[in-house]
Amino acid sequence: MLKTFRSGIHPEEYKTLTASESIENVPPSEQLVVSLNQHFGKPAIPIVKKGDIIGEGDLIAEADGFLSAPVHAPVSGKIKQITDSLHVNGYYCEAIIIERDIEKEPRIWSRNTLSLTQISREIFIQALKEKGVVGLGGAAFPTFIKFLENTDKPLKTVLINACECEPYINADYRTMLEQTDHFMAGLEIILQATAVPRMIIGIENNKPKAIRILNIKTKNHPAISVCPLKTKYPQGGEKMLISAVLGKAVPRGGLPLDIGVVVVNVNTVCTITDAVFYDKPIMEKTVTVSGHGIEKPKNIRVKIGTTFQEIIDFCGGVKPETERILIGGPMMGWAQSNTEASVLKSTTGLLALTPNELQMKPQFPCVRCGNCVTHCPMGLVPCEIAKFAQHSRLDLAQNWGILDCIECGCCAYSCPAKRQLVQTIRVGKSNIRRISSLRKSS
Amino acid sequence: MTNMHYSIAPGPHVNSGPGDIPKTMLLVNLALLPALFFGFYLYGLPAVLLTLTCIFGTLSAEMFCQYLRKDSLWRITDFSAVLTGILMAMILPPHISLFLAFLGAWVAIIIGKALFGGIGYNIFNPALVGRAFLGISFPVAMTTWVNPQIVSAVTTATPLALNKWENTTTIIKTLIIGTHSGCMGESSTMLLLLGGIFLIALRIVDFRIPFSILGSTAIFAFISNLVSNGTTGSVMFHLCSGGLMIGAFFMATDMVTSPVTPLGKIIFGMGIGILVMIIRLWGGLPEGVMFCILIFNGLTPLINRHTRPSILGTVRGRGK
Repeated sequence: MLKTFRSGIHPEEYKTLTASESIENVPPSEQLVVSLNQHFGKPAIPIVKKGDIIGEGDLIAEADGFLSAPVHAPVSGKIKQITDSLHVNGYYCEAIIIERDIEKEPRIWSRNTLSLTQISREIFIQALKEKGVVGLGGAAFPTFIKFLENTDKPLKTVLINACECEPYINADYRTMLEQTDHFMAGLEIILQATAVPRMIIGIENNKPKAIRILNIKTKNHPAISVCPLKTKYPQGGEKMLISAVLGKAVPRGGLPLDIGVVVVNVNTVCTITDAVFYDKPIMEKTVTVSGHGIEKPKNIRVKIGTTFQEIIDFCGGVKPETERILIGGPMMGWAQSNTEASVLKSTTGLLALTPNELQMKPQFPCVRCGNCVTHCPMGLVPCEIAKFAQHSRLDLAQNWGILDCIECGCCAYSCPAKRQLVQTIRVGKSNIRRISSLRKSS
Repeated sequence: MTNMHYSIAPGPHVNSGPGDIPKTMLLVNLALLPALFFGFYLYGLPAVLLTLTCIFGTLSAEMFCQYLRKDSLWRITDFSAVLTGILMAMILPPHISLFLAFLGAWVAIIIGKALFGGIGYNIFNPALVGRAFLGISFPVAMTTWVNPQIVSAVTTATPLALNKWENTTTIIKTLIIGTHSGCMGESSTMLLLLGGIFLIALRIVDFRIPFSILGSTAIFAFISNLVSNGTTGSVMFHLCSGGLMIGAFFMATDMVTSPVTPLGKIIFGMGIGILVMIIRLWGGLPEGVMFCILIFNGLTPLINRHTRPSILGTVRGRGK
């Protein structure tokens, strides 16, 4: 029996669209729109001004406080403008627009002199902090914070999240296949820097090729083990992965570190290698471009700040029947009304979906079938919570655990009446947060 | 840059596909068909007319209510009213007057369903509300049983009444095949079980409810039979007689009126099973499945509230 977490769903995977496509480099475009709001926490503060000449990898915006991350120039060129520009989330956020210097050759990032045994926790955290390393799985939480020394809560296990449970997306899978050594170097760095006794790679069994390669590569590392998991969504969620691999639950309202665990995503591991061994900040991102609306589905490596339109053009354009453009996976991704916004550190996929894949259906009244209850990985009763949220009974919603919802969307996915359960719950959660922040300020 | 605009919506952007409500209702209807056709075979034309009257009654009542609520009349195509009609017909005595059947159907839809807000909002199973109304208002018509025409069309009592008041036991084989007297569609244990298993296999019905009803009834019957030296009827007799099978697989499992939590479903089923046996052994009626289900329909919100699954990461002693 393969390990897994309780409940959850198994949506149609569509991974085969790009599973065997190797990662292609997209030539950098002439103009990049680098958002300052690329991570969890406060947006970065620009330290350049209009007209400045910058080199590839230069710091262009510094972290604003503790919970923030710096932003670096993906290409060399000239600062054209610092202005508000469309963000993936649909709002306008401050961004630095860089005009690329087409004459200049791309910089070569070579291995620095640091050897593995020289790495200490200080060097490690400093590198992560300076190079703007954030969790690339989606939330973009600054990675260094997870590894800060904490004497009350000793780090016992590092989990590597190689689940990639969202349908269509293959970015992590392809990275593991093509950059195995780079990935393994990152794992060694983490082991060395944190002196953590064990490291487990949680990977779903729909990636047998990657499991085989990792098994061979980790043979000589007694601390690292590979844990194949039964393919299920949302296994890539931090709490689900911990419960699947370790059989432990993160306390409600707590962090994984409360039980001595830190979860790191595959692509984040690779950027850790970049930051520590190559002094290279995050400048590009591996993205899966897929869906039945894309002419040529591909896995690409693209400069941060490239607009989605340019990526779509690189992949042969979209078919006329395309109904929806998504950034991220179909379960938790953001729909885009147009293709103006640009790639962030946290972008994992760009999907063009046709009405056939979306299966849009009208809502029907809730018939209390209980499907959402049996599929909720957090053990909530989504149909009731959504009802409370809809009628603004936030007290009851909170009593039924609305704040424990991880917004994975299993409830709405499994609902035969096509009710917008997680969507309603999300509104309820943001209302609760707004009210409590109002109370604090008054 | 093209100025194409795409549709936007909050995620998730995909769903489990075509398993929507009208289709579910249609499949429940299909699962009832074997037992229904067996009823037609047993009682002939009156059974067919009774079914048609009930379906006509529920559909017309549904349309009437939709008209009053200025809602789409096409709502009736969700098959839920048809299901109520078929279920109504199957739990009525086969030779009841068609007027009463029609009246029951209207009560079922209007009082049982529309007054609460239509599909998804009712507290009690509509078909059972209709039957309860008829049972209380027209007790004589509702307890006049005729043997199936293929046996001999004479007035008789149901196996449960025979067992309770005349100490006559019906042969189990008759009960399983369903050639004894009783409501039009509830007699054939075999065919109802078939339909029920079909629904469980399709995951339309949660196995917890029917299994816990039948299980608790069986255990109760076994113990009482042991204590009373075999006068209260065997386990098989209680499982196969009366409305237990149709109740367990098609009435209690009505999604709208049963709990949503897994533990709640088991408590709901066990409660019904135990109450059925209490009414059968000590109550004033020979049969109590209808009232048991209605009582537990009413308790459903309470059961839901107290059987919430534990939230991942709940620390024992802290949190709620």
